[in-house]
Formats: sequence, C-alpha cells, structure tokens
Amino acid sequence: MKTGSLGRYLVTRVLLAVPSVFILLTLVFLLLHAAPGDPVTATLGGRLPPAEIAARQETLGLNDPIYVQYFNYLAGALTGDFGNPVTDSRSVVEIILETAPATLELAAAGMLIAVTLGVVVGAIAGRLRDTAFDVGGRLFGVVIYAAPVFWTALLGQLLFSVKLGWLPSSGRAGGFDAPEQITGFYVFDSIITGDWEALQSSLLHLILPAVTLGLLIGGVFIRLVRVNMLQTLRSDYVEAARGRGLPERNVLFRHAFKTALIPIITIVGLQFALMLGYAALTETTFSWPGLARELIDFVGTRDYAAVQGIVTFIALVVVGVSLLIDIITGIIDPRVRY
Amino acid sequence: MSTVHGSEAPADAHSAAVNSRTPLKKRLQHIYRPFRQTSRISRGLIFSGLGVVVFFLLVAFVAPLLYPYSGTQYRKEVAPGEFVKFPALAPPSVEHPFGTTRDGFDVLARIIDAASLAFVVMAIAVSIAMLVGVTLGLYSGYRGGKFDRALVTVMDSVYAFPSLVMAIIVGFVLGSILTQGVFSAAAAVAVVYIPQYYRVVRNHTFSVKQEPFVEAARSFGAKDRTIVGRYIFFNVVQTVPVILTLNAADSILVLAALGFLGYGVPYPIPEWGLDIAKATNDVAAGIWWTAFWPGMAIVLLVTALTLVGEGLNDVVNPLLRTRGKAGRKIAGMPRSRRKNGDGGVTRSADAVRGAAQEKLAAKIRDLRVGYRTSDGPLWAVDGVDLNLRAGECVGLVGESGSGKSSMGRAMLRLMPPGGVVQGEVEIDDRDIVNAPESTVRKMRGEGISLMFQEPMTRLNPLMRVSDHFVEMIRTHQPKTSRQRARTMARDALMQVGIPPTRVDNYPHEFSGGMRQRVMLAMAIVLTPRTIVADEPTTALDVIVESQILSLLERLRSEENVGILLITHNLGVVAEACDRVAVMYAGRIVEMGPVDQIFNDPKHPYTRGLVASTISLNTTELHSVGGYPPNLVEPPTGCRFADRCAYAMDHCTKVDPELTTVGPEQQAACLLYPGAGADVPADVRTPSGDPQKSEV
Amino acid sequence: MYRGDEDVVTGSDSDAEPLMSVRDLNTHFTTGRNLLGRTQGVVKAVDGVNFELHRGEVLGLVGESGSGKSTLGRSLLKLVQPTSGEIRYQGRDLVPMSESQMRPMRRELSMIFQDPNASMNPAMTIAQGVGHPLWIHGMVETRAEAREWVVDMLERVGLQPARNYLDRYPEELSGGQKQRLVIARSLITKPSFVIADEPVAALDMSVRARVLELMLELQEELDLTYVFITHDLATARFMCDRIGILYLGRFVEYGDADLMFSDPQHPYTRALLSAIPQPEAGRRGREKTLPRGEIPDAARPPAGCRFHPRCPQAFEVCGWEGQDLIDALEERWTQVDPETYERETKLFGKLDNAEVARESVRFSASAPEDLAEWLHEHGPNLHANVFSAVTEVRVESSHVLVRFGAGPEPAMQKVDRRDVACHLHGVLVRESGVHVGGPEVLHQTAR
Repeated sequence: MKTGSLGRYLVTRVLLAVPSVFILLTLVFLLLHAAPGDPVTATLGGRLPPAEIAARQETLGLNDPIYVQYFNYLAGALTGDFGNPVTDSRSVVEIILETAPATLELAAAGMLIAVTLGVVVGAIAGRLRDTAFDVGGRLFGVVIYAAPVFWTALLGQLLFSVKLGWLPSSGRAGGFDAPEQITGFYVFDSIITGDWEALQSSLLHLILPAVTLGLLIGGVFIRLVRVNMLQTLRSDYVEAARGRGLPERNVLFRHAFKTALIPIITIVGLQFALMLGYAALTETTFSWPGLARELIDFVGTRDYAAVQGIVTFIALVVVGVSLLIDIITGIIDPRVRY
Repeated sequence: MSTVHGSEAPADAHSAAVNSRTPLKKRLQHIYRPFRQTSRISRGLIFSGLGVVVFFLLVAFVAPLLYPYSGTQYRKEVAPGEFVKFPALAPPSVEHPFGTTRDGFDVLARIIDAASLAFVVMAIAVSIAMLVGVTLGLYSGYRGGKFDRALVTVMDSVYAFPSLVMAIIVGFVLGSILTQGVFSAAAAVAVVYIPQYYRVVRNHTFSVKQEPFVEAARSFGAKDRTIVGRYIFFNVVQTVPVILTLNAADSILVLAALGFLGYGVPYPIPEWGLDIAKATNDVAAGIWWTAFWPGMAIVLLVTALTLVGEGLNDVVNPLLRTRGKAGRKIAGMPRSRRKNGDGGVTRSADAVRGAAQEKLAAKIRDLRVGYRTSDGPLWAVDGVDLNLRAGECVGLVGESGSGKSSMGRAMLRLMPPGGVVQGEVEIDDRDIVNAPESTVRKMRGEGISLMFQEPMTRLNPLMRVSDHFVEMIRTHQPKTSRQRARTMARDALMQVGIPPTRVDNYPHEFSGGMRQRVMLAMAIVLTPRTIVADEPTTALDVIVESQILSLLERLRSEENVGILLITHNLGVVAEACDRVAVMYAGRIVEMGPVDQIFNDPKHPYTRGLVASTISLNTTELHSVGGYPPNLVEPPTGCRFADRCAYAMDHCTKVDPELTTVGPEQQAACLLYPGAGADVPADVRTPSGDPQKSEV
Repeated sequence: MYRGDEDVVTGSDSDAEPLMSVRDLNTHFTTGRNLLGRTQGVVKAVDGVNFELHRGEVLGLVGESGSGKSTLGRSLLKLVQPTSGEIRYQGRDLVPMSESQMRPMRRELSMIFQDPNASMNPAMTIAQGVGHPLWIHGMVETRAEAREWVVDMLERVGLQPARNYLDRYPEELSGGQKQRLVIARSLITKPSFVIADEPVAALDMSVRARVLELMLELQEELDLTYVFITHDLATARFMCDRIGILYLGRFVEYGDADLMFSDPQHPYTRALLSAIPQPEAGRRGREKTLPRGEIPDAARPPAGCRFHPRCPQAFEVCGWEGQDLIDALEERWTQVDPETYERETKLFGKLDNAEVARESVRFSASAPEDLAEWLHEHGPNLHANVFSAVTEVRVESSHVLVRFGAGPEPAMQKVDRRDVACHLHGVLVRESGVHVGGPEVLHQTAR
C-alpha cells in the first residue's frame, strides 16, 4: 500500500468540511425559527405601536416565507453580510470583528494552559499507572471538571481579587491600559508596540480567566491523555522497541508518546469546541468583552441576525480548527493520506 | 478462568432435569465477571462514587422530610400568625448551618431542594438522550450504507459544535415554546447528548457486526431483527453505562450553566447554578457562603458520578484492565525442587555439560518465570535448564500453556508488570536475571535479539523502516554516524531480501512476510550471538514461512549464531533445528537431537504430540486426551500423569527429573531409571516412531 | 493452441446427480472510495470457480491468504452475494435467491467457523446459543424440547455430562471445547451440506485430531457432505476426497486428493508441497526450490497466469508484464555489490519515474543507448524469466521502451485425470481472463 500524497489529502479534507458547515448553519436556522415570536416583538414589543413593529418586521424580512429567509441567510453567510441586530447600532460583522479577538485570545491562553497541564500530567499518569501520582492526577482531573467554571471563577475572584488584591477581578484592560489595537489580541499588540504597561495590564487581566478555563479543560485532557498513553504503552511495537534495547526514555517519547499524540491532537481539536462553550460562562463571570458573551445576550433577545451571524462564525472557527487538526495529523501520520 | 472439564462427576440428575431456565444467579455471575478482573483501584472508584451518589439521593428525597425549612421559605412561624423573617446574608450559624442568602432564604434548604431538581432533570435528560441515541446508533451501525454515512456526518457536525452554546440555544427555544422550566432544561441537555450516545453505540455496533458470531447467526438463518436484538444489542450495551454516568454528570453541569445564565428554571425555584448567579454580587463584598455551598454540591455530585463512570470504563474496556498487578506479589525465594547434596540428584545433561568448557551462546539454569494473578502466583516456566551453543538451532516446542512463549521474553527480561524471572540466564557469559536494567538494555539487540510472532504490528507506523535501524544502531553504538548506520541497515535488509529501493518506506507499505524479514534484519544487524525467534512464522503462509526458515538457516551458518526457535509446529522443528526441547506445563519433559526425537521419542507426551501432528503421510488420527493442568495449583508428581497412557501409581507422587534415555537424549519420566524412582520390572516402555506404531 | 470455452472440471466418477454444482462463480468486491463516493478498484476474490460435489464427499478448498477460499466458502452459502455464476444445490440455483428464499435452505446448509473464541455469542448461554437455530427453523416448540435437542447434540460432540454445560457461558470453556460447541450448533438442524472454514486452525495440535475425528464420525452418522477450507495441505490430504488448490480466486489444480499429492502437476502445487515442513526425521537442511516473492495484492493480480511472477518454470507466454521487469531489477539489486548497484541505478534513473504498463515499460534514461545495451546483455540473466517475453527494446530520444509479447491467461485443461491451469501442458487461453496483449492473443498459434 503506497503512501498517498499530502496535497491530495489536504484538498479532500477541505472539501469535506463544507457539508459540516452547511449542516450546522441549517440546524441553527431551524432552531431559532422554531421558537415563537421574533426579534422585534421580543425586544421592542409593547414599546412601539403595532404599526411600527409591523413595519420593522417587514424591513427585516420577517414576513417572508421561511425558505426565502433561509435562502437570504445562506446568501448572507456566503458573502459575509449578516445584517444588523435589532438593538445594536453596529452591524453583526462589526460586532464579530470587535469581540472575536477577545474570545480567541482567552481561548488560546486557556488552551495553552490546558494542553500543558493535561499532556504532561496525563502522560506521566499513564506511565506510572496505579501509583499515587496516577490516582491523584485522575482525581484532580475529575474534580476540576466537576467544578462549574463560573463557580471556580467566583472563588478565584474572591481569593485573588477581593481578599488578596493581586489580580483584577474583571474586564480586559480598558481605558488607558489598553494597547493600540492592531490585531485585537492585547498581549500580542502590546508586544509589537513595545507598550510594557499595556502588556502588564493585559496579562494581569488575562491570568484569572485563562487559568480558570485552562484548569477545567486541562482536567479533561488529563484523563484522555492518560487513557491514550496506557493504550499505546501496551502496543506491540512498544514492546518490540524495548526488545531492541532502546532506553526507556526513547521508548516513551519517540515511540509511545509520539504515536499517542495523534489521537491527542484530535482530542485537542474537539475540546476546542468545548472551550468555546465554557468561554461563554467565563466571559460572563469576568465581564470579559468577548463574542460568546454577546451571543448569550442576543439569544435572550431572540435576535436572529446576530445569533445566526455569531453562530456561523463559531461554526467556521470550529471547522477551521478541525481542519487544522486534520492537516497536522496528515503531516505526522503517513497512513491517513490517500 | 475455570475450565469445565468433561470428566466432572455428573450433576444431580433430578435437579438438572428438564429445568427450562438458566438460574438467575448464573446470569448475575456472568455479568459480574469483568469486575473481578479490574484493579482494586477501579473498583474503589466505582464504589466510593456510588456511595456519594446514594448520599445525595438521600439528601434529595429524605432530607426534605427532616430539615425544618424549605428552599423558598424566608420566614418562620414562631407563634400562630406571628412570623419572623430570616436574616439576610447571615453567615453560617446553628440556626442556619450554611448561612442565608440576600433574599433571606436558608442556603442549606435551597441546596436540599435543588438536589431533587437535579436528579429529576438528570433522569429525564439521560432517558431521552439514551433512548434516541442508542436506538439510532444501533440501527445506523447495523444498517450501514448511505443512511449511516449521512447520519454520521450530521451527528459529527453537531458533536463538533460547542455543546454548551447548543444547549443554551435549544434550552432557550424550548423554554419559549413550552415555558421555561424543568422539562425544557432537561430536554436541552438531552438533545445535546444524543450525538455522544449515537457515536459510541454506532461504532461499537459496527465492530460487533464484524464478529464471527454475528456472521454465524446469519449463516443459520437469523433475521436482522433477531440479530440486532439478541446478538448485537447485549454485546453493545456494555458501553452504555459508561456514557450514561458521564452523561448524568454532564447534565448537572449543563443545568447549572443554564441556571447561571438565566435560561434554566426561573427564580426563586432553588437551583444550584441559579443560586451561584445570584451570589455574584455577594462575592464582591467578600461574602463566600452563598456561592460556595451550591458549587460544592455540584462538585461533589458530579465528581461522584464521574468516578463511577471512569471506574466502569476501566471495567468495560479490555485494554485498560489491569494486567499483572492483581493478586499478591510473588515471594522472593523460589521453592527449589532440586535438593543439593543428596544422592539421586540428577541435573540435566545440559546442566552437567555446561560445567564443561564449551563456549555457549546462552546458558539457562533453573529458569522460573512467574506472573501475579488474582488466584495466586502462576509459574509459567518452572525450572528449565538449557544450553545453546553458537551456531546451533535449538527448537523449543510446546502447546498453549506450556510456557514456551514466556521463555523467549524471559531471556531478554522483557516481563510485563508483575512478572518475575528467577534463576540463571547467561548470555555471552553475562547474567541477565540479576543484572541492572542498563546492562540488560544494552544486551538487547546486541548480545541477544528477539524476533516476535506478529510482524504486522511490531513496527512504529510513524517511522520509516530505515529510521528504526538508525535509532537502534546509534543507541547501542553511539559513535556510529548516520551514514554508516544507514549503510548497515541497507546491508542487513539486503541480506534478508529487501531491495535497497525500499529501505525508506513506511511499515504499512510492506506485506506481512516482508515485515518479518525486516524484523529479522533488525535482529541481526548488530550481530548478536543469540537469536530467540518466538513463533516467527506462525502468522505467515507456508511458502513465505519456508523462505524465512531458509533465511534463518543461512544466517545461522554464515554468522554462527545460536538460535532458539520457539514454535508449536513440529514440522518447523524437524526442518530447522538441530536439537529440540519439548515443554509441558512449564517444564522440559524431553530433550535431544531432532532425528532421535522423531524416530524414537521416549516421553509419553512427546509421543502423543508427534503422533497427533498431522502430516502428509498421516493415515490415522491420534490425539492426546485430557487438558493441561492449572499452573496456579500444579498437581503433585508428574504433571502429565492424568493424561498418560503409561501412568503408574507412583507417578502422581514423585516429580520426575530429566534422565538420560539415549545418546544425548533425556526425558523426565518415571518409566526410565534415574528419573527419581525405581522402575518396576514389568513395565512397558514405548518405542519406535509414534506415527507408525502404537502410541 | 486451443481456445478454451469453459473450464471443464469433472466431478467424481459417480453418475448420480451432484448435491452441489458450481459453475463459473464470481464474487467481486469494489474497493476504496474517492471523494464523490465512487469506488475505485475491484478485487476479484472469486474469479471463475467450477466444481461438483456428490453426497458424502469431502471437497477441500486449499489456499494461502488472498486465495479467496474464505470468500468462496461464504459465497456458497450466500453470506456474501456472488457477482455472477451458478450454485446449484439439489438442482436449484441459489445465486438469484433473495434472503427470504434462502432462509429455509439454511436448515440444510451450514457452516463451521474458524475462531472458536469469537464464533459463539458471548451474551447467550450454551443452551441458548447452540439451540438458537432450532427456533429459527421452527423445529421445536417449547424451551424444554430445545434443551433436550441441545443435550443430545452436546453429547454427540463429546461434551459430557451435557446437562452441566447448558447454563454455562462459552467463555468458561477451553478452545477445543468451544469448537465443539460451534460444531454442535452447526449440526443441530441436521443439515446435509456443511462448509468448514479452517475448523481446527486455531487449536493446539493435540486437540486438532480430536475435533477432526469428531467431524469424520459425524459425517458417517449424519450422512454429511463437507467442503473443507484450509491452508494446511496435510490436513486437507487426510480429510478430503478431492481437492482444489486456489490461487488469487481461481483453481490452479483440481482433482483427486491422493493423486494430487503423489503427482502434482501445477508448479504452485509443487511449490506448496515442497515448502510444507514435515514432522519427520531427516528433514534438516534439505534442498528446497521455493518460488520467489509473495502472494501479490488481490486488487492487482498479475496478468496472464497469476502465478507467473513466482513460478520457477514460467516461460514466454505465461504473462510477463511491465511490473515483473521492475520487480526483477529490484531483486537483482539485493544481490549485487554497492558499486554495481550505484552504476545500474544511474542507468535506470528512479524506478518510480518509469511508465509501467501491462505490455510495456518505458524507462526515462539519461543514456538510452547504454541502457538498451545493458538490457540486452543482462536481461536474460535476471532470475525471473521476464526477458523471454520481451519482443522489442526500442531506443528513443530520452527513453527506452521495452515491449512484451502475448501472455494469455491459461484455462483449465485435463491433465492426467486432473484439471490444471498451466500453459506448460499446452497453451490454452481462458477467454474471460486478463491477458498481456490484445485480442490478437487469442489468435496466436501455439508454440
């Protein structure tokens, strides 16, 4: 069986990603339109005369037949025009551009912490099976996941902000402390512009939310990485490698760990979606000006355009991450290429 | 595992009469079986988790009857018609053990009430998700085809999306259709979990579908419905409890999240997440008890459920079952069956000869290999002596349970956790059994190599074949340059018939036979003086097998390597080996030059084995009745006695030792003098070719 | 050369109507799926098989991995749907039958499976598992009745006292005992025709004989007809009356068992017999002539005679094709010294760049004249007899083209009371085969 080409593999994965996005968009559309009422009535009902409400509904196309609305929605998604929310002066796209970097920065920082924690502890636990470290690590992973993120966040605020005063309890780094916005990623921007005060403020604000998020997801990783390590350490080629007299260190890293990495990378990709979900809760607790928090608000006002737009964006990000994972897997593992 | 022996005494005829049902006890025993095989830790996890869950159940359904206040109560009646309000934000006290909230509710009361809500939501959510997910998964996995592919794509897309966001949207939507409340929250949780059940059940169904017993059911005409119901379902269903508990755990978290965001049940119905949300402002003022206790409740219950789930996962997943660590550690001192100094001690000819001057590639004395099992230590190899001369090929023959597979690994001290090697193993005059790990490691591959049975899975799929060699060479001889290592690799591969154009291929690009050649090349590249080949050709076709055997033979004569060839195939032994040792129940029962062993084996087991081997010249079938003994509690005396046609009364009392029965041939059998007992005068000993004469 | 229309395969000398008669059976699988879900390749697991079986006979289907013997067994029982051909059981053709039409026939057609550890449903007790077929075919009405049948069958297969086994689960038994369960289950409906797929391969030697003995006893008691699928020629010789040797989906030799072993006609059969290790004295260091290489990928079988790349006696019409030349070169390079290797690889350039087709190979060469010269000089000395089929070595501007002559696929022909597919006995072309060369192949005159 010959090894396929990397290029062909990548193209195939990209093409296969399209139906996934499509399905998600449709799903979201159906869900939102299943609920009775509409954005206008939800937010402004009772405050404006019925004629005015009807007029707004007409402008927003809410009286069109469902398939027309669906079509417009898809068309809008393709062209990047998601329309305007009812209660906000910015367009949906503007909202996304403004708040997405905050969420992504938080998610990235959290993921960094989670991966480091999870992979290191999980791999060691897998190796030292049934020892105190292993049981302790597993228990930690379970407990930290069981603790609701908003609860941990509150306790964290209580301890580090209110009682100890070391870290700010909310917000991102606003006002004078914010760096010049180039990419929207404060840490990155601070470094580029050499603004050390902004950097310090950004980091301080980032620590609590990122650690809260990271610990939680890290707990999940610990268990998953451990299981994968266990399975890989049992495999035939690991035994064969030991039989060739390779030092345990080599066996662990080059053979066991590297192969275990493949499913781990996939897991990381999947958990990214999980992280975005938890980001919604974290952002709310820390008043972090992110996209997820906006989404929660818009769901409450049943603002189709905004919700659909943000969800589409999230779906695209998820699919993008999954694609990235596939690419990395294709580079590492020669067996999967066609 | 207890083997049912046909020679058991017949059960009571009356009770076993036309009894139409399998007793319940038997069924329960069957279900409990996998539990016995998991580690104590896993069982501990399950039971402690269950304990906490039961505690919460009591809290949810019994405590309200005992605790004086309810969750929405903000005052109490001190006298008829007279009410006193609870203090707001009071710290924990005797009156209110967990304190009170901003609105004057008793925190503990709210925790208790919320518990029952949590269980109700959990029950509803899990039931819906399980019902839909499992059914779809079974159907999809069994049917396959377009429906399955389409459903998998849809489910994967939903699964990939942030579940919490999905739950929020669904919860919100259902809440506005149905009214916000318990059911809509539960349903939101359920919908989000359906893909999980689906995936796991579908994948498991898919793999069970390929199992031979499913095909067997089709072969005798079972309908699809029956197959899914009786053959697939019960085998797939084992994974459901794991998902179920994890689902239950998650449902509490999702419910809390929804509550926190305001999309769960409406205030002032007690709900843990909702209460935490309400406590947000309290935290800024430094008040901890309104947020702490609800969160603690969540942590404890979810942890408990997850522990149960993790424990069940360990039970169900055969890969995670403990191997080797169940049972007590094996004691240090072996019970020696060889007495020192007394007369009548016969050591094997190999042991005696070893004392002489020959340079041996490998020398084994009184080797014992044991494993820990939950029923006690199992000595798979129980006192083996063997000499392997340079340039000689010795065959080690035995059936399953003989211990031969353990021998190979023991010679490189490649033991699984809990395995123990005792005795003497000298490779190139250096001891392996008691040497430090670094010494042993160095010898593996350089002093002695092991060829494994299954070539398909012995190479790292991510590394090129040449990289395997380079890594190995440079580990043992660090001064070797990469270039030189590659050349060595290429030469070794050429010796086994792999063209240089394929040296940089990945393992999956080779067929089974070629992979075995690669393994052979790796075994010789550092020119060891001893090679242990553990069933090297069992997994291969007969022509390829013959090719590999020819290769082995050529290498043996060209490089003067000593080969220990472990196999169950007597034909391979006849063709490839100079001498052969026959193993039974952990011991060598006969040893000698190949031709003699085939022409005139002396031990009844060897005779039985040779006779029952089907060859092209077989005209009559012979077999050896009975079963090999249980090595956790080996029988006293000769281990083959209960199956032996020549057994005498004292065979079950005296342990036979190897004694000379022919030129360079030895057998451990009391039929022959010197084995440990006097031989009765009129005894009939077997002789001649077992395939021609009587066994 | 004669044109063979149909492979003529004779049954035994009995004139009675055969119990099963198979004509031109084909089972093809499609493999691989490209982006649009369309399949990419075809594996002809069973590629034109013919045989007849009379009541009470034992037919052996012998082959190594990739030979298609398992697929053939499953095709006979329609566990896998054949692509074309006829399977006549007691006169009725099974191939076009739907599953519901087949179902009642499954009472009489039965299968014994290979892996004793995985062939019984672990979730059913022995009584349930062994007795299930009775319920399916409506042979019992009460549970008690079924249990009696099971007890009877268990005793027949040697599991005694049978009542002890009824409520146990299969996992509690040893390998040999489990295989007896499988046999019990497959015979409980009193079938007439049984396919045994490697029934003893997973068992220890000392246990095999017992199970085979059992099978023979039961054959007598119940008047069974067996198709015995195995890779072990020794077992096949002992158990079978007639044997067909399968290679990549087709018989290469078919006939009476004893005759086949005493005087094999096909080079593959001879190779198998020569390769089998025999448990006898005096076998040490014996001479063996083994075919080279391994069984090729069933998805891309060699053209012409499928065995030709490995056959020590292949000659010019056996189907030499482009890939064979590449393989022969690679084989050569495992045996020359490094300088020669360097020199020759430079001549040929990267083998991956060569255009390999059935009838030709085009090498891109920097020095085409030298390459052509080398081919003329060393080609005939390659270990494989590839060059015998080369009709032309053409020098082009920066390429060298090597052309092959006709290499038709052999049809079955009668040789000494057996059927053999081999041109050594006279070139006979299989019409529906895969040949090297176009339609003119069929009109070439014999050597």
